[in-house]
Amino acid sequence: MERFDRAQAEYLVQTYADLILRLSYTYLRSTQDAEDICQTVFLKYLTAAPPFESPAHERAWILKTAVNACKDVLRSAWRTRTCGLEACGEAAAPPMPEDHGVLAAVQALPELYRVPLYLHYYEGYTFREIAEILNIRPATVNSRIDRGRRRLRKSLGGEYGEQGT
Amino acid sequence: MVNKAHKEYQDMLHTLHFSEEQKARMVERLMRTQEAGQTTPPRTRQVRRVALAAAAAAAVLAAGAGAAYVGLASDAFASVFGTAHTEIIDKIGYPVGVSASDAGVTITADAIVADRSNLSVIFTLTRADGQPWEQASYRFAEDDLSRAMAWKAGSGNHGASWFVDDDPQDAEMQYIQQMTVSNGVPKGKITATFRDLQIWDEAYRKSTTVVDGTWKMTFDLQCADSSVELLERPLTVQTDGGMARIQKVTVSPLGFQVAGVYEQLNAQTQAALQEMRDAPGGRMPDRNGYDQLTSLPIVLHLKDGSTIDLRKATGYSLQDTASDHPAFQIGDSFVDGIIPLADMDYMTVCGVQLPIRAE
Repeated sequence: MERFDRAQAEYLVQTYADLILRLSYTYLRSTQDAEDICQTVFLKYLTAAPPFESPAHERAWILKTAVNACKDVLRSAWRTRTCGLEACGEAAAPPMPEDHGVLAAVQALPELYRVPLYLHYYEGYTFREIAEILNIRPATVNSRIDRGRRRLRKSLGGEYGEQGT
Repeated sequence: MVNKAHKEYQDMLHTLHFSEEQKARMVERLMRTQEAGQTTPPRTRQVRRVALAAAAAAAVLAAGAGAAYVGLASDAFASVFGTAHTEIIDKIGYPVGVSASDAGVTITADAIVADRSNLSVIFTLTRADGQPWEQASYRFAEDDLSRAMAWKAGSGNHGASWFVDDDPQDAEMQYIQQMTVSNGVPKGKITATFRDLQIWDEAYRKSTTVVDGTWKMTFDLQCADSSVELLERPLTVQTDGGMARIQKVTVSPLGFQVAGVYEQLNAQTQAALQEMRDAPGGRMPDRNGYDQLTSLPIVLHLKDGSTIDLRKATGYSLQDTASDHPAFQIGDSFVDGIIPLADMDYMTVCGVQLPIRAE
């Protein structure tokens, strides 16, 4: 295993932990597993990441790896975390944002739609970049975002108007 | 998304962040993991090139006419096992690439991953018309791979099967068969036959045929056993059923197995088994003696501190239940899919700790 130092670990946590938290929340509708997902992604980065061409390339790699980790959590049913009482007290998940209005409407969408919407409208990725992160075709991203927006218009109704972007 | 909604969405997600204390804890956890020497997959690019050549050769050997999938087992199983353990999957799995077509649908056996007792096979169903599959709950009216496996192995098996449609816009979906075979996964050729693809109604009471077809394909079973035996000598333990001698405890990245025989049954279990023998046909008595014989506390402890309660394993087989010394075998595939041996610390069986040494 390639060794890493504290500075590298701190860089990763400070730069990407919140990004992974938001992605985990979008994927899993909870913040409970976010720390574990961070651990998985950061260990993979520190020991097996490829050389990156740019900060954008690195960030996309982090997201792609976190997406796969979220999918693994979705498939997991038996794993439990056991810890001493004191440690359990420290391991509380970050509080979830108040879930109402637009956020609630997005989170209520199927994963197929809410994840591309998050990557586009919050992280600012293009359809082509989202296709690369999620390992799907750009045309598929286009149709999922379009369908997600239509569902949102229907659920949010008049308060947010009918115009799309 | 209109501007107002867009801004509100962004503002609400901005509030989601780790505290500095949580971030500091994450750094400490990373450093502790390094000190514990937890291994992670090494750079795999070179290994992948070698594996691709080997996989292609294996596919040519195994597939015969009609081969369609020639790739890595890890790529085929990405929708099932994720992408975190590709090296392990490619070591214990292999591509198959055998297809059958009928009624405008081609079913291809893409890949197999197996060990001594556990097996997963992934198939791709492709529509010839290029249209996407309807989003629904599917089943086959007949899927006899499990029966074929039981016939070939000379024993029962248990497991699960399910459909996955990762990209609802394309004309493909996957079907996964996962099973644990009591007598072990046999070697040699096996034929899988599927008939009539159906969709369940919402209540899962009635299914309707949507593709009237029969698909039959034959492929090779060649398991590379990655199991490790945890027992150096038999172990005597007290269980809900009585005093048992555990003779075998094995674990692999795919699953586990615990086997043994009862030296002495307790009175409660003897009574429950007798009740089962005396019960009128078709009626299970209130007390299930089989549960008492096979409900052993088995827990897998991983190096990261998490645990997996294997007592919930659904699979077991029993022999000689009419005697005073029934034999048992408890085992299952891991629901998580793949757990590297290097991530495992120890297993406890009825409270006895058994270290796991990755080979």
